[in-house]
Amino acid sequence: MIEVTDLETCFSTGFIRRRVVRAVDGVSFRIEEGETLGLVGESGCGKTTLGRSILRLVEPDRGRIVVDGTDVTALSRSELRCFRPRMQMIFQDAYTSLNPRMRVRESVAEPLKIHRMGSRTDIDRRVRELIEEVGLNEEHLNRRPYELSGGQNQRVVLARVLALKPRFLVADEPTSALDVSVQAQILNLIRDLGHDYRMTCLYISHDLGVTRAMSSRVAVMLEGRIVEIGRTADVLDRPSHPYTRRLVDASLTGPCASLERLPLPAAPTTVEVRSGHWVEETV
Amino acid sequence: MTGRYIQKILVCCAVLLLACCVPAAAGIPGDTDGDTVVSEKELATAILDHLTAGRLSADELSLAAHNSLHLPYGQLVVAVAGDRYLIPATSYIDQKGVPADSLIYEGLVTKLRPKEGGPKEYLGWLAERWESSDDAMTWTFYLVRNAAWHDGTPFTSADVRFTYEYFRDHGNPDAPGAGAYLVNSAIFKNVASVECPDDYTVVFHMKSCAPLFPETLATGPGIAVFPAHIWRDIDLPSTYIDTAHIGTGPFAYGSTIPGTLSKVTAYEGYHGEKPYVREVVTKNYEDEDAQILALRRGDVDFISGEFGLSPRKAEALKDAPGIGICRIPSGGQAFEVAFTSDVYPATIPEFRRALSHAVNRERVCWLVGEGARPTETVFLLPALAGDQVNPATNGLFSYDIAEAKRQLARAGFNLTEENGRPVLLGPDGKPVEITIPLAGKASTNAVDQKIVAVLKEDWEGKLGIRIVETPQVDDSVYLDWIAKTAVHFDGMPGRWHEDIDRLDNFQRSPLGENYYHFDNETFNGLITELKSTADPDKREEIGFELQEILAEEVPCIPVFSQDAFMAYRSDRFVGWDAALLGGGGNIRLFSEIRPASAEVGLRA
Amino acid sequence: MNGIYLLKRLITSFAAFCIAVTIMFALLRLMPGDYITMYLEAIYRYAPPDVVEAFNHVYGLDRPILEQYVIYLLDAFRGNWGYSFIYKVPVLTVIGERLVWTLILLLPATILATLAGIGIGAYSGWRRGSKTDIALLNSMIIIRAIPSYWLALMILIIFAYYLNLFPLGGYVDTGALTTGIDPLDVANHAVLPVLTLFLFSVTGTYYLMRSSMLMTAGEDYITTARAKGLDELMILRKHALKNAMLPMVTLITFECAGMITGSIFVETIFSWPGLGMLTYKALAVRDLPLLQGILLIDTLFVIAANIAADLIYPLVDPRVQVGDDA
Ligand SMILES: Nc1ncnc2c1ncn2[C@@H]1O[C@H](COP(=O)(O)OP(=O)(O)OP(=O)(O)O)[C@@H](O)[C@H]1O
Ligand SMILES: [Mg+2]
Repeated sequence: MIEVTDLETCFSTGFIRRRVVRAVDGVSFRIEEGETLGLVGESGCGKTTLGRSILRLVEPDRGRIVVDGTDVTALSRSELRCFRPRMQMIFQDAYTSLNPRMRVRESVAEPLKIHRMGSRTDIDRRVRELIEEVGLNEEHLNRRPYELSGGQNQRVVLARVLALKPRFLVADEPTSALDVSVQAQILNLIRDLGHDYRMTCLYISHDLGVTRAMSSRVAVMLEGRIVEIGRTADVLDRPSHPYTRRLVDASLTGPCASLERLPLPAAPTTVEVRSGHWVEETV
Repeated sequence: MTGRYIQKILVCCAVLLLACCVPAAAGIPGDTDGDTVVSEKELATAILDHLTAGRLSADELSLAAHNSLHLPYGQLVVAVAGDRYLIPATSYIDQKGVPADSLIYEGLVTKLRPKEGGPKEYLGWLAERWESSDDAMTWTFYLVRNAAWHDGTPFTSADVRFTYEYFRDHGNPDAPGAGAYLVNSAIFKNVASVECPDDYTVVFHMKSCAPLFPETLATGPGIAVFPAHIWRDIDLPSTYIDTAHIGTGPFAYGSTIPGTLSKVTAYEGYHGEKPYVREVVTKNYEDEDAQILALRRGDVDFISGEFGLSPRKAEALKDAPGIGICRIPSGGQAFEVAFTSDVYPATIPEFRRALSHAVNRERVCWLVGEGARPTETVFLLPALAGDQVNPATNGLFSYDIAEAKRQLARAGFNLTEENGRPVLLGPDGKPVEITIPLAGKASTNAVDQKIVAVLKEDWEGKLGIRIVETPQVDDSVYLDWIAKTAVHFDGMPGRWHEDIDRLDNFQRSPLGENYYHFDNETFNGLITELKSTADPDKREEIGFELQEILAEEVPCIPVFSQDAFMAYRSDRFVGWDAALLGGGGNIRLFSEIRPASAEVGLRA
Repeated sequence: MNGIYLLKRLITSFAAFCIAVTIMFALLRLMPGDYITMYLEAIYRYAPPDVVEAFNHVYGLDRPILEQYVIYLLDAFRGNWGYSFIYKVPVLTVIGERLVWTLILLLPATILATLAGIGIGAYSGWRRGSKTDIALLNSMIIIRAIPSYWLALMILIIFAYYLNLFPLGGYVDTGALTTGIDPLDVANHAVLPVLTLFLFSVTGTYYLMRSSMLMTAGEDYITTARAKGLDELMILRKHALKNAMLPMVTLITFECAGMITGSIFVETIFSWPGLGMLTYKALAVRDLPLLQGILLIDTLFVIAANIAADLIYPLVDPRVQVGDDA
């Protein structure tokens, strides 16, 4: 079970004139155990940052994150390192998330080695199991990332994640770089494996179709905030927030002509329009 | 009572003050009368001093004794700029010629610096005495009798004849083998034959009248005498690497560390005055600032260089403890504003003459600073040419803008105004515009830019001559630029201003154009006559006449000559100034200076 | 496969060498001014034409340009590089002597600068934005901004003159004239020039390493490694450093090639007889054979460095495979 309360992450940029970008701006939500929450929103709205902040790959400035009853925000560095294997992340581009110098075998085995999960032969066996589980075979073990296709790489990434048996997975648009048929295979794989391993999952995507297929609940993000959250069917079929409505329209009709900025309230309040379906009030 | 007491105190104070103010004059330990020689009596006192009072240390006593007995003592370290001044870097035989710097090899004679207004002087090295026939067609040199090569072989007239023959025989560019040809072979071009009536007499028979033959032997680059018994067997001299360096000079070759150090040691069997210094180490510092630091720190005792230190740096060194500076009048370069006489408007002699009154020498000297002295003659420098300067031509190019304007007007130039600025219209009615290329020898220490600045004030600001451009050009194309611009600057070393013979600089010679494109028939004829005139009085007469033509025609306007500043450690050696001012090069300098500090003995 | 590739590489290198040699030949002949005229003008003010002619004849400079070119090419390959005009010894001897001294300075300086540049650059990039990073970055910018001549002179004045810790120039003490060259003495003389050269080149390596490290540190596999719970040092060692080092291979090989051109400033200020100063002097007096020799050696080094970079790259970066196209 994941609980995020009032999370805020800022980046300061600029060398001479410092500017603060509030990439995540006071986000709160819960994900129940074994559940998959979809996170949608336009590019640059802070989805990736939110995902990273939850895993503390980016240090959040404020807020509380509880994973499986552990307050992640309160962990010290070394405690955090021990806790890390329980929460994992899959990135948009599988290729860049694999060290180009390492063979598949090394990549998958590395997490097992550092967390001392078994003897050499055990690890070796486990690596072979994993690689078969994600639909590759032993012959791929001795290859390096650039000798594999994008889809195969994503499978390797998945195998590496599974090696740690995480309780919580953040999947950051894991299929956006792949073509439709491969995308479907990978999605099925993630869903099935997630089910087998009973993983809680935050699934980030800007494709509403994919989100619908993958997640039971969905959150809509805009400029660092979650403006609408609820069951997938509720939110996507009966969108309440104008921004969500626009997103849904765009996904049906293709890219729509005008996407002018919506005026957002300075101090937002959320209202529950249906049970478990919360929407931020608009001006 | 109290009065006397106070008086006593005052006297003590005065003595103390004096003692503090007067710099501890560097002197040779034991030399009480300051004549830089420790006489026997002084040595005896010194020994007593050492034994009883302990005022002289054992090392100082040793120095005094060496001085008294005229035995070489200690090590002199000389800073040079460039590895070409180190010993085996370059073959002496073809590149350096006469040994003003070499210390190892000697020529027959070396040139000295004349006293101001006095006659030319030479110093004999291997020649004791020399004379020429009245027509200057034969020169006879009487050699020193007790000279021996550093390997012990006696030096005789045969060596001199060999040197001549060797150069003559290696002047053939068609000879097989890359190293057979010697560039310097051209120096003996005018010698028809050499005879040796006896072991100590050499007679040179010339092809044509050669009144300045000793000068040819002594300078630019001059010729050293080489040992026949060694070079006889060497067929390819210009690629032969000499490792022994057998000469007859006051110092014999010691050792070398390529690119950085070389050493010579006093030669026991030297025929002349033996040096007081036992070892001379030459150390290469490529950068002038590094040289100065080395001198200040005491790593070196002398900075050797053709024109000395740059004046500003010498000035800064003046008050440094233990360091002395010798100022050599006109020892550096001499600068002129030069005309290209076949480029308009310099084609008009009146124009050139008018401008000779429009060069503010004092102001240029002020801009250049330390050591610049205005030239009052038409070309030769009094400090170098001595009595050859025609006094009647002195001060003719005085700075007088009104006079310049008058002369320009008389020559058909018309000074008008345009937008409040003066504009000079030429005889053709067009504004006078000139370009001055900057490069060549006059660019040392940016002197050329300073002259331009002063000329602009007067020529542009007062005479209306527009200086359109002063392009910085590469040295290698400078001659081409000179040929197409009316005005340029020159900055030749002093030796081009030291003899009437050098006035051939302005002759339109069979070799072609001179730097000024100056072509005056009378002048050309007089130079030809001078070259074949042996009689000194006649020569002087011609020389004076030549200078009068220069004053009249003004192919160039002398501006100033630069004094050279030489820096040395006055606390370690004495006797620098006399040798530096007298001329004769390092070979004379290092033979004459005397150690004055036991420190130099401990180094060796 | 690899053999064929190597052969191909050698052939193209040879072609590059020939082209470079030809360009050099042309450029040197196009240079205004010549040795003998300049030498004679310095002595006599006018160069006597007969002496100039004789000299040019002796050194074959009066032959048709094509003939000179052919002779030059043949001689270049035969290893007969002629005699230097100024030094009167075979060109290769002069270059060889100077090369040793150049390398004595540049090898340690380059090695130290590379190691230090990589080390602190990696640290700086890894700890991007930290106080240490800012301090390092700013000091590097300052060092970089100091004119090299001035920096060398200041180092000489401060460390050698005022602090009296080191000699003021040259590579041995005067004592070496009697006792011979002592390696320790040479080392003592080399400290300051090496320090100066080190400062000159460490900034470049630092910048490149820092930015390469910044890029690598942003890669997802680094984040993943962190997510996996690896400790920072391990991530740095196992994942970041090796990948960030890749661009350095090129830099290092070219720095090695650049070494032999020497450094004119350092060699002048510290009176160190290296190749930089030799080149400068040869150029100033138009010592053609020496210039040709130096440029030939430079070309050879650059070509060798290129081949070396090509051969080293696949060893350090598995993505690059040499000769795959063959
Ligand atoms: N390291 C960083 N430094 C400064 N600003 C950053 C940094 N990372 C992200 N940002 C800014 O934070 C905002 C959110 O970025 P984020 O990557 O979370 O967007 P995203 O929703 O994942 O977009 P996409 O769908 O394109 O991946 C953006 O405006 C981005 O410019
Ligand atoms: Mg993203």
